[in-house]
Amino acid sequence: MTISEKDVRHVADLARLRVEEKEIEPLVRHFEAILGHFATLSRAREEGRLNLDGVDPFLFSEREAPPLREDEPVRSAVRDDVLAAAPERKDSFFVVPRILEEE
Amino acid sequence: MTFRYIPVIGLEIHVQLSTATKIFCPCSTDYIGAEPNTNVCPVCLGLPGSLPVLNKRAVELGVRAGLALSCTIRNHTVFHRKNYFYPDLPKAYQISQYDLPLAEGGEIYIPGDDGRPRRIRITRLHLEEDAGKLVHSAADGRLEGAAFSFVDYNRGGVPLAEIVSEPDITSPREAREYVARIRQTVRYLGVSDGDMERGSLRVDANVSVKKTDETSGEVLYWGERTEIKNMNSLRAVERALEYEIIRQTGVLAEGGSLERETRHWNDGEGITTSMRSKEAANDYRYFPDPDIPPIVVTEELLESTRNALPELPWAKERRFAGEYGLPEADAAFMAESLPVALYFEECVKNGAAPLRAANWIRTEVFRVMNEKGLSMDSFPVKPSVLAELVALVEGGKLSTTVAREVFAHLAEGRSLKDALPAAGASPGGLSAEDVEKMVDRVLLANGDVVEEIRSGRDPKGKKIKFLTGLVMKEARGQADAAAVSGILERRLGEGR
Amino acid sequence: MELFALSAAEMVRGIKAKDFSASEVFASCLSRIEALEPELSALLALTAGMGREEAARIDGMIARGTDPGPLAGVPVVLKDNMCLRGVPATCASRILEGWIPPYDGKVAELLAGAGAVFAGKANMDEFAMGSSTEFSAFHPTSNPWDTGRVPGGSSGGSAAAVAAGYAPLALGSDTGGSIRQPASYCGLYGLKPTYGLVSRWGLVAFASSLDQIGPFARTVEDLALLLSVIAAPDARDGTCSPRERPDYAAPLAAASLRGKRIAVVKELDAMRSSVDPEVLRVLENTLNLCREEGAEIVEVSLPVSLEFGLPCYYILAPAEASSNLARFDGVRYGLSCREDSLLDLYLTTRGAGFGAEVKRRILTGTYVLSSGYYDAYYLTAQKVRSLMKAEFRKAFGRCDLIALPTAPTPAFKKGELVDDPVRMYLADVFTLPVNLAELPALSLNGGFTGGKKPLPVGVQFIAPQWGEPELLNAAAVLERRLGKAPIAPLGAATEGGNAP
Ligand SMILES: [Mg+2]
Ligand SMILES: [Zn+2]
Repeated sequence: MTISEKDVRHVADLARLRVEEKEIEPLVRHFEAILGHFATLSRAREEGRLNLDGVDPFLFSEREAPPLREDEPVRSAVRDDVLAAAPERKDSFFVVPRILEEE
Repeated sequence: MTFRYIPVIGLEIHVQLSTATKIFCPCSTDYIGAEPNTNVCPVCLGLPGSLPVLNKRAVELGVRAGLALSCTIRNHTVFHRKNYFYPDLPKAYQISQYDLPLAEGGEIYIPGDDGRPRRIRITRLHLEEDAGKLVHSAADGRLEGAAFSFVDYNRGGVPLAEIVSEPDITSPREAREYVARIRQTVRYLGVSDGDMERGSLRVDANVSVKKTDETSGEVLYWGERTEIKNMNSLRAVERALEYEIIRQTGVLAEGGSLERETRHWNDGEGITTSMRSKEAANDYRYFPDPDIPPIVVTEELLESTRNALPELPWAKERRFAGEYGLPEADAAFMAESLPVALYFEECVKNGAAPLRAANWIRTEVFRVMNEKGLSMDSFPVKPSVLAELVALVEGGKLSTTVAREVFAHLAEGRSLKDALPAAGASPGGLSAEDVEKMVDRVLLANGDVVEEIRSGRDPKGKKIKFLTGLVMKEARGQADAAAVSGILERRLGEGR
Repeated sequence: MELFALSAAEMVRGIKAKDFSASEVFASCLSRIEALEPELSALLALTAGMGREEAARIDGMIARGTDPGPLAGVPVVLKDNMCLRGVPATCASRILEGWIPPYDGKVAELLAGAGAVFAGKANMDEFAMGSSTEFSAFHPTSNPWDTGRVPGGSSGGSAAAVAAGYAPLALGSDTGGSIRQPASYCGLYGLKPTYGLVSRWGLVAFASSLDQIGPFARTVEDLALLLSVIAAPDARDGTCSPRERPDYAAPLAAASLRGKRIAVVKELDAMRSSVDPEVLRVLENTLNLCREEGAEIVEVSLPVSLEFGLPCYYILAPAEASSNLARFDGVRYGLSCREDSLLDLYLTTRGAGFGAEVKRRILTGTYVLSSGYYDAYYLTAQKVRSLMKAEFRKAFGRCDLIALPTAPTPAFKKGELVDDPVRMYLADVFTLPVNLAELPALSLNGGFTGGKKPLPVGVQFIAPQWGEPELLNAAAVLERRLGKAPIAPLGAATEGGNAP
């Protein structure tokens, strides 16, 4: 498994994380360690010790789920507290740096 | 070689579902005109520790729309997270559906450009949450040019059904017809108010142009597609596509190439402008939302929804033409919206002749509705009353002119009993006997004219028209002119 | 004996019998906290004022003859990733520093309704990512048994608080072992419930499909008491089961292992070299006690879980975390580094707000979900998860409980693994398969290491879905043989429990 600095920069971009130049190299090594560990799976599959053919990915639990919510409005009380603690607020809007309408 | 450029259009329509609460939290969906950030809770603000719970009604409405569009409904459907950062998206992911949508593989028919019905395939219908709203400047312009944008999450989490068509649409007019058809359908179903101006029905268009050999039809080049946003009316859809197709064709014809991008329709200037090039930066990292168990759509729900589907507009249109003998245009008009269709049928059930009832609705009812800004539901003249009025006209007891006057009084909220005399008509209209008597009186009082006619001195029928006019005057217009002149001719013939 | 050293059940009995008041209990715990906190740093917030008021309210109810509930006047510590209205919840992260939840989580509601008194919020690894509580953005927590060592993690503050006698009860959350491993390191009972037994409403998510809230206690009775309070259906959590929950404490008096089949895991043999001998000795000893109590020891095989559980976990948990932690963007709450552009607001806020380990996991998770890698990593890991689930199901056809070490080692030294995250991940090798398979598991203190500073060593029992009663039954039997979990010998002499 080879990971490049470009890969790390790309995911940092996707994740909106500012990563300092000096953090890149250790991250590359970390990725290689984690994904390298995962590569034991491929080896096990090649060696026939692990067979994933036809296995359903276990995406959800098979537990009984609670019933869906009825369509009845409930007013939440959190609004004032949230706005009062907002990092930046104008009247009852949250404020962000200007985004061009056609951006 | 001569070339032909053929447009290929697929539409994505986001329809706001008419639920009382948001799709994953119990906040009200009533955000129009609400103070910013009032219909919000931990869930739709994306507060840490909050969790989504799916609104049952949203699923039911989605199933209803899916069935009406002849889709197959999945019995297990799954919500995915679509991950991207934007201030209107409080969790930084939109809960949407990905490879296991609620409904798939449907179709709908529209009037094609060749006049024949055209089938547009529906790829899928899926449920998702709406985003909040970004305000870039206040209405009073105070924030114009400001360094900030403002975020309101009142709309965040409102349930949407996204309806995706196959690229089966080949002209801007067809696109418009398709959108109109979808809007009509969701309104019929009570699934959405389908209001484009208010944003409860939003259309994105994917459009490309393929360059073909005029003679062989062979596709020589398929241009990259663009996605067009911000079309807020049927007219805008048609105009934006017309513009975009000309633009793309122009680029291709000059040997240029197109880039895959999102373009913004500017209605004022009548142009599309580039917003951003697509796919380059977008990687939504879809994965099944672990907070939401798969949704089971039971056979019972399917069955009961199917049974409760109203007669759909196209079926109604066909029936109106068949059962009532309405011409195509009238049938389409009467079936255009459910309230009008119900009004029309109620009229007919109360004894109105279908064709005349349809005529009255198209002209008088709509005129008054538009003048007064009323809706069909709140229209003051009940269909049974209109039926009575139409029957009077049909029975020759009221002339159209007077009936219109009577109708105007009815529309003011008067009863028929009060409206008839107010318009100078006698309640119950004139009997045939009454008309005969009036004709007698007129003939007696105008012996000289009668004599002239009988002696053949009325070759152009002017004099008989004069007598008809006198009778009509006496009848205050409540008699039918043709019937009166018929009686006159018969009576004048008798004495010869 | 001082009041803080009592078990929760003893406190409730005493308060209800008016032998002492809830206010006295709270004051005793508070002075214990004030005495030891400089040394342990187990808490991120102390809710002294709120607790005093609540204790006084409970006393008022007792005076009026009203039953305050099954936890009447018992001080409880919450891990700092749980929402308690009006009290900061930082998740030990700079990005949530100062954030005050405007709502109560489900467990907070249930605890308040049962008469519990909140004593404070416990330190943890940032966003529950870690196994030592050294990844707290604010300060590390010390192990009460040896302050040079870590208390385990990520619920290290909760574990240290109970082990030190701050409160008889605490809640932690367990995504890959974060209750059981610190329970082991601190010599406590810690239970990770079946996924869906306890509502996650108000629990700041790390990995939604794995996270589960569970109790820490020093006695089995207390553990069952707390579990009975927090295990309730909740319509606000779509993953919380609507099934009825039993009273977990009721049957414990009649606990017995007679006829029970307890399984050892075949694959552990091959892993012996990477497990501390003391851990193996304690496990052996505990199994012997089970045998003496009439249990039959059998063997099952969990090859997929033990070999591939770890790599799969470190794909799946970061994947979910990368999405769950995306909402911390500086727009609505928490840290916000204001910049001129939206992109810089995001980059700077998140870059400054998250610690190194959280960043590593967010980036790993983003990577494995990104275009072109989803199938190879995320989907493959989910398939392995399926196999693990099937493997456990098969194993439980042949036994009632499975026994494994909780962690491969006793508490390690502070700083020992901070710079080697992947080696630290190995601390979870025996616990995380349980989360992936959605099963319940309990860690109990099976004994201590030898030497001058004995360290507690945990043993883990795993049950089938909804098998919490089975786990508590076994723990109750072993408690009769091993004694209650002791308060760590710190500060003023403590009685009770069974110190080594
Ligand atoms: Mg969409
Ligand atoms: Zn809400």
